[in-house]
Amino acid sequence: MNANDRETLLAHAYAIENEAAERYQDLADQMYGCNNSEVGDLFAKLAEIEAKHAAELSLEHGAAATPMAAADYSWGNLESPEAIPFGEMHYLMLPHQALTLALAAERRALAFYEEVAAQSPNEELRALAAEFVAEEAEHVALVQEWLQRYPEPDQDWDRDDDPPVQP
Amino acid sequence: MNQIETTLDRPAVSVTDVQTEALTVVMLGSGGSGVMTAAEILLRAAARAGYYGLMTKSFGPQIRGGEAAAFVTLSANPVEIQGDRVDLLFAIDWKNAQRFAGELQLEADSLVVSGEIDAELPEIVTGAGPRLAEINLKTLTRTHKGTRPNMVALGAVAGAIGLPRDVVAALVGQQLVKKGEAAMAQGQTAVDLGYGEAANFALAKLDRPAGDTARWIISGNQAAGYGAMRGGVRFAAAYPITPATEILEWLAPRLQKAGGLLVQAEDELASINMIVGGSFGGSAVLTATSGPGLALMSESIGLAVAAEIPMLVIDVMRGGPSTGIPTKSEQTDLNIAVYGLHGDAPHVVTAPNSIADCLFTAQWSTHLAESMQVPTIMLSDQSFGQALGIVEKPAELAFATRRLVAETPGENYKRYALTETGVSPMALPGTPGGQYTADGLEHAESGTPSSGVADHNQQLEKRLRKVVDFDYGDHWAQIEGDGPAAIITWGSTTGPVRQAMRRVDPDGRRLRLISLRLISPALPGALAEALDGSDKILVIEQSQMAQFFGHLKAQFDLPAMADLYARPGPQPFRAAEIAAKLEEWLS
Amino acid sequence: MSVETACALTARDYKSDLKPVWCPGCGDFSILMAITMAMAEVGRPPEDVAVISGIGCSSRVPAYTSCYGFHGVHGRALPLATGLKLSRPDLLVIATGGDGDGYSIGGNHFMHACRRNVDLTYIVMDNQVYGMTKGQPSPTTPPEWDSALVPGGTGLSPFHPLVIALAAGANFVARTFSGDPKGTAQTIVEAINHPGFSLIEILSPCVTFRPEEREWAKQVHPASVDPTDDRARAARRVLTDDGFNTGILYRGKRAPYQPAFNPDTSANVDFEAEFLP
Repeated sequence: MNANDRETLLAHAYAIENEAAERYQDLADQMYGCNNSEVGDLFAKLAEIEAKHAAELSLEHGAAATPMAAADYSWGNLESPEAIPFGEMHYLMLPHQALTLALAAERRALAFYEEVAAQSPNEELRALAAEFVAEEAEHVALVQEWLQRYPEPDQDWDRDDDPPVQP
Repeated sequence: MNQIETTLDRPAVSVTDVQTEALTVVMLGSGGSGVMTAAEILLRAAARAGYYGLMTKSFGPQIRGGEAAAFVTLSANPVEIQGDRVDLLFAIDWKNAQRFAGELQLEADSLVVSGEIDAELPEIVTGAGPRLAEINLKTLTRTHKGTRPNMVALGAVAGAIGLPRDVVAALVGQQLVKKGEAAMAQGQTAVDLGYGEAANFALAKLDRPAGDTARWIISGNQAAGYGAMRGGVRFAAAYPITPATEILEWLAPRLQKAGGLLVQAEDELASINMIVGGSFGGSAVLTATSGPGLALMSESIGLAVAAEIPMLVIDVMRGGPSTGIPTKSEQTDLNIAVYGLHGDAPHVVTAPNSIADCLFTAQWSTHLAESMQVPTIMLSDQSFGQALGIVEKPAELAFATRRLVAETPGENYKRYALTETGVSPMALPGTPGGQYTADGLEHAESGTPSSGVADHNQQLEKRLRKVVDFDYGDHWAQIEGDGPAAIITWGSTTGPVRQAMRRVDPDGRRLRLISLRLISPALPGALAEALDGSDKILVIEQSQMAQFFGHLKAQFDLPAMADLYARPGPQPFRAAEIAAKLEEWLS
Repeated sequence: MSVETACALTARDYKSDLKPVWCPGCGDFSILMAITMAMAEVGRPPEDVAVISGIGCSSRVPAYTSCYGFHGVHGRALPLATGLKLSRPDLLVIATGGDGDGYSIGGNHFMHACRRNVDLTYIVMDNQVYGMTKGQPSPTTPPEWDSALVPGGTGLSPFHPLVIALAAGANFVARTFSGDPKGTAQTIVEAINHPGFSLIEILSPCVTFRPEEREWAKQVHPASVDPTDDRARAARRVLTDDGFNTGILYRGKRAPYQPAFNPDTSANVDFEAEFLP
């Protein structure tokens, strides 16, 4: 990303956090919809944390609440860095897998801000980016800690003896 | 002109001075003979002279060049059906005329005029042994440059009937006005030649018409289209099909004139769904089709029932099953119209009982559809649709109720709210706060899909209630007379029944007629009331499997003693056939 | 609708409260998001938008939006949308559905909608399988794909929607991938803004019946050339690509079909004169 001004960086940061919050909530809803509430609860908690982060951005930095046009965002990837792609989900996924995905997402966000901090020629922007780096590092540590509480899945974690239901 | 005696040595019957109540004329010809144009002018001239009349057409399967017959029945009294027999048959030529066997009932005192000299006459003629005459059309039109055989034939027929020459000449002039003055003059000459020849014919004369009420010349298909427009229809989508296409072709330019639109769809599946879309957007809509098209549409008519989308579907019935007999009538789409939707799908099925009633019933059906937010199928048929009638000018009617629209949907707007009438206010796209998803899936009051017991039962109940409890007024049936012997019929069988009743029971003491305009939902109470005091019931319909009778048996409290006279098409009912049946039944 | 409120609309405003019932991992989640993002960017208020669908997993989209919607019968979304748009040209009308709904049972309507060129945006979520009926081959399924209904595969060449659309007269043709919601949203915006009939074919993995389609994320790649207005060139390009080329392929210049529609039901529709003898 080439964030040459404060507004663009804040808009991106706000979008990242907001979309992460919305995505975690969507994923939580998906899991609840499949009666996988253990993972649903994890995603809901993550959604809460990201929503709080987005609110702080808005409150403390006056990040614009109005999103830019989709085309104006420049993500390295197809999706915004902190959002777990919808395609990664599985209805039988276990907390360990969910948190692995969340960890990857938080690390992408961290890497995004680190790159901004490293590349920005502007002192003010570097400082702001460093602040976001610190925040994301905290998230990464948190998710890592959670991850340790859950065992790795067995080989047949996705086994379902019943065929899919025809609605 | 040679007035020749029949080869069967029959003495000539002089009927010139005989007055008759009705006359049926057939004009026959093939490949470009122009009999249809001539017959239409004849009908128009008769209307101007104050007669009632009916014109039907019969064709070979060819698009161009085939044999064609125009049947015109004229009378001083209202005409709903073709006469029992043909009084005058004028053949411009006889090519393949035998195909009209069964439709052309000639008798010994019928007059047959051959436009060809020494032609080999088909069996339909020789078998009946009618009076014969000849006109040498070839020589006449050759010696008078620019005259055409069909116009000479027109003059001859009009003259034989006794229509005023000036009325016919004026109409011929109108017809040819675009072709220039020379053509107009030649047309007049041809008519005069025909009138000259007619002096030699012996034909009973029609009673003089009494009074001069305003008349229209209209086909059932035109009347249906006009009725729908009077009912507010402004958007239509359809796929061509015989015998419904004339409705569409009549509507297309006139809808445009009224700011509306007719879209030609890629098939009937598309046309029915296009009007679902149009109606969802707020327009009163229609499509017109025939049996095969209705079969294709039935899935989406069910969608309209579930999603409560008002629409008018006009089915101009033809002989079935399958492709059947596209150019002939049969009352055999009743079952698919009433019972052809999957699931418990209450909707409305109506049927006009005359050409003029196509206008009323189409307008009424639109009103019913819009008022109840329900698809309404109107069962017209080929014999109405493609017949041109001289009718009394239909009364102008207005129905007050329109679609119940949610103009300002509140916070808790529910598209399928349970209301007292079962009709729920419909939010139209563009209305803030009214957003909902119309759905063929069973749904809750909000429209959200639901397979719950309560939602299914409530929505089924509301959709049935709104249709069953609606006040249909007196329009549900046409009831005439109050004799103890009741005839129950519907649609195009009504005309022949009515005519037969006049013959069998001229004082109206013995018979009563109940012709159902509302086929579904069934109103058993109303029928029971209409049958009150009757001791005999006869159901008459044009269906091999007696679909109407079965429907009455299943859905109405039809007494067990009810008798049935049912037979298939393509032969239309004639008054004589029904009258004979009635005599037998009453004796 | 004032400019201020228009600006305030976000993707969230176009989402309903209903939670999708799709399988977690399904591409349709991303596409739903892309659709709502595109709507927010176009900025028409939800009540001025109608989303029309037939039957299938992806045909559930209308109820997941806060717009007017119609979830009709299988295969008939396009004629329904056509009837609505022609009689309500003021609305933004979007049709959504899947490959079975649009290319098989609705195939005839698909061709004729392209040909008719009404100003509609048609979003097809192509997962190359019938998901709702539990895994039967659709017109876009590869010939060798084995299933209970067609053991050993269909042995038939897949239907090529983009080429058909071009040949039939569609005015805008694009392919995107569900895993790229932002690019997809952008393409939908362009499709909406382009007059006439727009087809967006979106590769959308079915993780339940075609789990191998999760690999699509690695196979898709953006088109290396700019869109063209040359139908033949676009067709050639799409016929010779690997099926994973994403982007806008064609932007045509045909005028949309939109006859005047200004009905006045109170107008005197007096055609009596033509029935006088």
